[in-house]
Amino acid sequence: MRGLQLPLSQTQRIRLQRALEKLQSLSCKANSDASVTVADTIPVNYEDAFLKGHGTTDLNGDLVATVCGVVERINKLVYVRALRARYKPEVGDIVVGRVVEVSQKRWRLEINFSLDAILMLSSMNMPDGIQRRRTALDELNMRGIFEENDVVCAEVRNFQHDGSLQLQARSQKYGKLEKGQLLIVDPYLVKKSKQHFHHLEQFGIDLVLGRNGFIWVGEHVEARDSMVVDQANSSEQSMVPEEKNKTHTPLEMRQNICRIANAVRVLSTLGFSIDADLILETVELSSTVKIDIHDMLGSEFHVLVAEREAERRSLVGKRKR
Amino acid sequence: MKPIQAANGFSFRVGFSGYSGHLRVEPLYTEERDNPIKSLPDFVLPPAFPTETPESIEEHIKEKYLLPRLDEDAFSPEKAGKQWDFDWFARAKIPLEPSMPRAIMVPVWELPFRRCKEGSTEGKWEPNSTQVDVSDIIVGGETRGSFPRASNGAANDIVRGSINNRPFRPGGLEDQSLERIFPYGASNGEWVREVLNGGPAQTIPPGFKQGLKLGDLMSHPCSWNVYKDQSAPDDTSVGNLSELSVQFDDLFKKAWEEDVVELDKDESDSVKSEAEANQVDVLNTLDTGSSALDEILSVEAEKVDNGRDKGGQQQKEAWAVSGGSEWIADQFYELVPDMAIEFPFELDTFQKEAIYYLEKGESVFVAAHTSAGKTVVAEYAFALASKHCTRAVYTAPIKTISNQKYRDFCGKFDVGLLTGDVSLRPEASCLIMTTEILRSMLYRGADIIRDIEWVIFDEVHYVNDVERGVVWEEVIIMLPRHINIILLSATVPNTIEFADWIGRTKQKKIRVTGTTKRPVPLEHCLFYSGELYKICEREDFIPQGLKAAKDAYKKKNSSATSGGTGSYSGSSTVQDGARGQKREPFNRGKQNKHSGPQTFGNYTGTGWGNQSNGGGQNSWGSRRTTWLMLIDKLSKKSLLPVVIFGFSKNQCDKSADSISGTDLTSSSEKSEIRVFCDKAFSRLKGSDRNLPQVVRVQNLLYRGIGVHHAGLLPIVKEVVEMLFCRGVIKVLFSTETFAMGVNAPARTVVFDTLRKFDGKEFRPVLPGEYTQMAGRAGRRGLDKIGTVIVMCRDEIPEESDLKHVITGTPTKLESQFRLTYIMILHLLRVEELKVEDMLKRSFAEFHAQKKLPEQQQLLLRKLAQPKKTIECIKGEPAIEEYYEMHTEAEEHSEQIIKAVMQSSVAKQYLTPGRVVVVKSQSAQDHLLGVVLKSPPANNKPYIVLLLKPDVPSMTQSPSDRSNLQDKKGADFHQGYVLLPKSKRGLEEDYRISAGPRKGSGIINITLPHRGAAAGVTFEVREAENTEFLCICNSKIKLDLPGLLEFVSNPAFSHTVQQLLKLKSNGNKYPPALDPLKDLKLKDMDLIKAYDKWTHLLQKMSENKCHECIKLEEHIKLAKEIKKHKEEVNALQFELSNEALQQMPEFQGRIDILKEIGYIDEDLVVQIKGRVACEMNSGEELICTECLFENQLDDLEPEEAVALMSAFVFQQKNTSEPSLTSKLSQAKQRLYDTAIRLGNLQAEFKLPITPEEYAQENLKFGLVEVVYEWAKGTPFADICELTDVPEGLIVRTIVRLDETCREFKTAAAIMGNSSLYKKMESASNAIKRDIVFAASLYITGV
Repeated sequence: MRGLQLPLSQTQRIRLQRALEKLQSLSCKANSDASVTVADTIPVNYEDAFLKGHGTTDLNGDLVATVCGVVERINKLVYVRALRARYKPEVGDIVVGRVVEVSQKRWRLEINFSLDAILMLSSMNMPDGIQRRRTALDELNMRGIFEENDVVCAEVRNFQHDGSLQLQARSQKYGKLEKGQLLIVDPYLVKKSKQHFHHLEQFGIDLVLGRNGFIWVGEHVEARDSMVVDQANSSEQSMVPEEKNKTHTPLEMRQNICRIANAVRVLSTLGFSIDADLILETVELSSTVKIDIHDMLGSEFHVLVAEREAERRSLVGKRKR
Repeated sequence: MKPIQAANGFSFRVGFSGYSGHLRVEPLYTEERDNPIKSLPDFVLPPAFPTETPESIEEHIKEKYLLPRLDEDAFSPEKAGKQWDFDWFARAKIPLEPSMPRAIMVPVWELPFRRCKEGSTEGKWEPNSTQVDVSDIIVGGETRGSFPRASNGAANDIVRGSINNRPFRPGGLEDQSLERIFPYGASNGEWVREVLNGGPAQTIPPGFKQGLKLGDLMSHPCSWNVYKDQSAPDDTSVGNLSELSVQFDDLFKKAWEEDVVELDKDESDSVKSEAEANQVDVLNTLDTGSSALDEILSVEAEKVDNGRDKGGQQQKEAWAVSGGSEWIADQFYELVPDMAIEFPFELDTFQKEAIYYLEKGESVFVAAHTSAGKTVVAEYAFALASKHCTRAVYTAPIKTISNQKYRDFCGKFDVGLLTGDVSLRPEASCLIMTTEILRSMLYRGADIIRDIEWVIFDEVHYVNDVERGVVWEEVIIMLPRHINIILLSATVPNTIEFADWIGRTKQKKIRVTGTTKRPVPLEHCLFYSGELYKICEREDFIPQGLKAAKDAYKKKNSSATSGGTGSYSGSSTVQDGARGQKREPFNRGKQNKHSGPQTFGNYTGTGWGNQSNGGGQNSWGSRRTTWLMLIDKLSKKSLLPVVIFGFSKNQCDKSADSISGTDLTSSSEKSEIRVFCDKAFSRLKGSDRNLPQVVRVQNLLYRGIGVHHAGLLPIVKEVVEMLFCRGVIKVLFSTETFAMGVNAPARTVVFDTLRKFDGKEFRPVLPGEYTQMAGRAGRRGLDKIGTVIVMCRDEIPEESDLKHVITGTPTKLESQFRLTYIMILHLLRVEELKVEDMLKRSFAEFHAQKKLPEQQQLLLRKLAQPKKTIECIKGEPAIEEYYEMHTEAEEHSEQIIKAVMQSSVAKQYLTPGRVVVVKSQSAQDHLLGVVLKSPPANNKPYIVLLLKPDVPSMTQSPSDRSNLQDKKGADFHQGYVLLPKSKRGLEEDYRISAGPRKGSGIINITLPHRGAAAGVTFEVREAENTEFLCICNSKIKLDLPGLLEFVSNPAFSHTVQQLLKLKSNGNKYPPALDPLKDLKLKDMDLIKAYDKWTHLLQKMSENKCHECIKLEEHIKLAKEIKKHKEEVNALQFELSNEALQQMPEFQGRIDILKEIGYIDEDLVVQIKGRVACEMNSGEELICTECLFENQLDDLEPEEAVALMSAFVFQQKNTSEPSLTSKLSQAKQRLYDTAIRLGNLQAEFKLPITPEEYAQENLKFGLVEVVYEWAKGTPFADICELTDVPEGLIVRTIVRLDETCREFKTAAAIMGNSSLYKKMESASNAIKRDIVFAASLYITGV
């Protein structure tokens, strides 16, 4: 596995080693030649007409990978899915980003893609399916909606012909994220699934797994209305006192946020793919072994999580067989 | 310096700005006058103002900007009445014009290593700012492509959308979260009160986070009482004043109290109408000579009121609103004073209505006959869109209509055209497209959809089309909410229903208008042996005409028996036939006089030559004469031009060829045709110009004869259509295609036959089809009447058939909704629209869904019912369990009894004297009785004597009795049922042998006989053996003659006493015969059931409820609870998605998609699914599999495209193409794939047979043709290769180009460049010459 930078004691090292080996043995059976680096030859059956897809090229009659990653085969299509690269957006992905610039009718968001993503004011939301009127007032109010350094979650709408990316936030669930932590993990750890928004009810916490590897852990908000009301003025008026009341987040909530965030950190360091169930399991583990929040990043907990995961996967594997 | 008006006389007006109804104060400056004194310098300055102090300045500012006061002028009472009848909130929503700052300050980006370190604190970079002209930024933005609309490279994407786009949210989805949120102030009237009373001043300027602190502002005392009556002239009596005064405050309060929750529009409506109503009231009471305007206003206000009320009621019932709008036509010009487009003719009523609703921005459904003028509505929508600077989309079912409409509208509007193969001016404000294009635009979320205001669906009845009808439904479901819909349809019986569906799906009211009137009335005739018999005129059937025709037929047939062939040209034809023949040459001569002597000779030559030909084929010869006769007749009656509908391409061709000898055109017309044809065909390449079809049709055209069917080359078809529209074609042989859409009316329409082949079988023409085709008769403005003729050759059709087809109701609009993989995949891509939603909204589900609210209410009511709980005295209530067992036991016992009673063994026991228990009306209270006489035959009833429960009067109705006795009897019964088995043995002794039979056995007793004996009432009646509940093991002695013959009371009382004795043994009934032991039943099932039953009884007795005294009560309760629960469950099922008709199929399809890896376990669309989304033209699964199996890899581009033709070609039976070995190998491979997929689908229980599936979706008929074409063979040569008509070849190849494009995109998704290139070159290879010749409609001739 990749070099974990953890100060491990002798026993811990052995335990971790064992857990990782176990994991490896479980995954290796599936496809032994799965991962390739650049210029690795991908073994294919040449009699059978194969189809070379993304991340591959033909070099002296051999099929050669052009990126590091995992070989995927679908029927006769062979392509390489890159790992550890920057985020490669697909339309419909839910991403979390940070506003880096407020400009004319649009915000620029950093989303770990090679270019900044653009969130147009016009694709903010369409209450009623009616297009947001592009008025001067609206433009002036843009900063009232998102400012620089705000964390925003949105959906990938489309690509421009030049490769830049457009986002949209045309639904109530998208929008500004407040009172929480933003974690950055490797994008490949977040798999596309049906649900990227999770409300962890037992903690009262919202978890947004951005496909770009930005993960948001924050206090649960009922409906993010404040940003979508058309009338910035009136809403602001009503918002101001509300906000003042709400700035205080209880300590317990903060602790919960930290605990979940640390669970995510642990998982990402270990390189496990991140989903809500796994995070919850890790959090539970941490509370059952009564480990302090700040100790969660320690090596002992890492080892524990790795062992636990190895056990779980072997169980799942057995059940499948 | 000029003296300024003193502050106390400061005048200003109050305006509203922004959304929230903020006050804006505009000072009104007094006019400057050219006064010489003013120009004089002021030497002495009198202190015009008091000296200014900070306080006074603040005071002044406050006075000026913060304390609104009404401007006397702007809010004068004279204006007040009118001031309020605009829509407040619509006004308030009008956006401000974007005020573009000329320059703005922007931070300057510096590369990190260039940033100067020393200037900043803690290493934080503080960017410098520069002033930048705004336009620079915008232009820069454009070139960077981050402006969505200006992205020049993807111009096509704007219109067509891209697969990467997200679809728009369809309208009518009732998702709460997306509903428009009105600020609190808007819905409770706060805003207006603020305006009226002066609310708290706003201290925060828009766009700022913090505002200016002005300290506590004092409230402004201004209140706004406007007295309406002042608007009246001066002669108002003072006495009226108080009662007429209306306070606006109250007005609004009232309005809001009425409908706080109603939507914005309704709100304003109500305000408006109320205001109007008030005004009208005022005007009326004051009786100030009513002007025209007042009248209109009053009428309108009333109507609005009425309409609103009606709407309120109807909203619950129907989304489709029809009728109630007769007044529109009368006052049309007042209601729509400023029409978006003027029509040169007076509009029809339904057109006026439709236009009025369009102006109001409502959706409209217009149902009218062909040529009634539906297009006017479409045109008006176009005009409105142009006026509003939005867009309108017109969709037509077939490409020909789109092309023709494009040409029609071209001159009038800014029109663009989008079909599968052409894309013309896609940026135009009015777009014409096929429905499929619109669908893909919706799925792809094309940006242009934002701008669309109107979508016009022409020929909506096409929704009935089996293959493509689903597209309409999909589109209607997918349309976003801001789009208004116009539906144009032929008259169908269930317009309202369909409109209602649309309205419900879109949550919009649909106005239904239309007409059944034809602008040109029709006259239906039969044509038989040269005569026309009128059978129907203006919807009235004329039986006499038919009779006359029948008489003629009879006459002819009877004479024909003497040796005639029966055909027209028979030797002994009736006189009119002979006359007709005589007339023929005469007429020819006459015609040729018209056409001039030159053609005469020409004509005769060909004519005779042809006739000799006709002699060869006898049937065609006779047909030919019929045609000639018909044409002759029509031309004599000047009923030309005529469209003759046949129902097959071949027939049309042959008919046309058979009369090619005839010449119907004048020389000037001939030259016109020639010039036109030359021009049109000049765009073809040399060899194509001499294609046999082109030459043949051209020759026909010169004579005024046309052919029109799908087998024609598109260009030829268009030439025919256009020439027909010019009126130079006199006779047009056509198939049904001509009836659809193409607006080319004729004077007369002829039906060759009233039977057609619909792909499966010959069937009579449907009324709807007949109407559609007959609608081509009668040109508006040219003809007074349109003639429809039905040809009769061999026999006269029956009256009922004719009546049905002519006056019958057309086919209903029915849903052809079906799930396709592509639809599922598209919908899975989108999170907010689920497939279930789509299913729910389909027209097929409409009726079920319509009932949902009621059911929902029912369910709520059911759920809200207080839950009855059973209070068990023994603590833990086990009654549910007990009840379960109880019901089960009952079921079993019933089963057993049924079997027992029908068995022959039972019959042996059912002899006179046998004690039985008979079912009575009430379930619990069964009657003890004794069999008096058993029937000789098996199915005759027994005669039994029954003990009636002791009831005081015998006249009581059975139901009453049972009610009275219910409880008691039930108790007993329970005891009986639960009788433990062990007790049964005790009463064995009661078996008494049958009494000796005396007497004759005659029955003197009248049945039913009722009486009383031993204090108990009894009844003697007949009973079926199914009525017996059980046969008891005891018998009693009977005095049968005494009972039945003499009806002696002692005999009865004796019997009754005996029975009562049985009863008195503690139980109500004596023990029953054991089915196993006594009756010796051997049936396995029965024994099993019996065992179960006894087992259950035992278990029940173990249950602690068994002994409970409240058992009966509780059982009843449990029954109720159970029933309630079942009802609730059933309702919940109805309401759930599982109740949808297509749900099982949907699940199956989802499973298949999972199985072959298009979606994963969590229904996330995978790469294969994304590729499949692109496949619109062929079967998506086969195409995708073909791609992923790389079947095109070893093929050359030409071969690949040839193979792909199998996806798009549609004709079934063709000549077998001869293929190269490589191609046939590839063909086999593709076929195998399809079979495999078919097998898979069959496995998942979809109604598919693999072979059929493969043959349905892969038609290899044109593989060779396309291969040759792609290799560059001229068109004339490839036509030789197959028997497929030229038109179909062209159509297939055009569609193939589309497929190539889709495969290209798929290759890009897969990341395979070689396939991409291959498809590109394939597409180039087929794009040439006649196949891709541009439409005449588009380019013009």
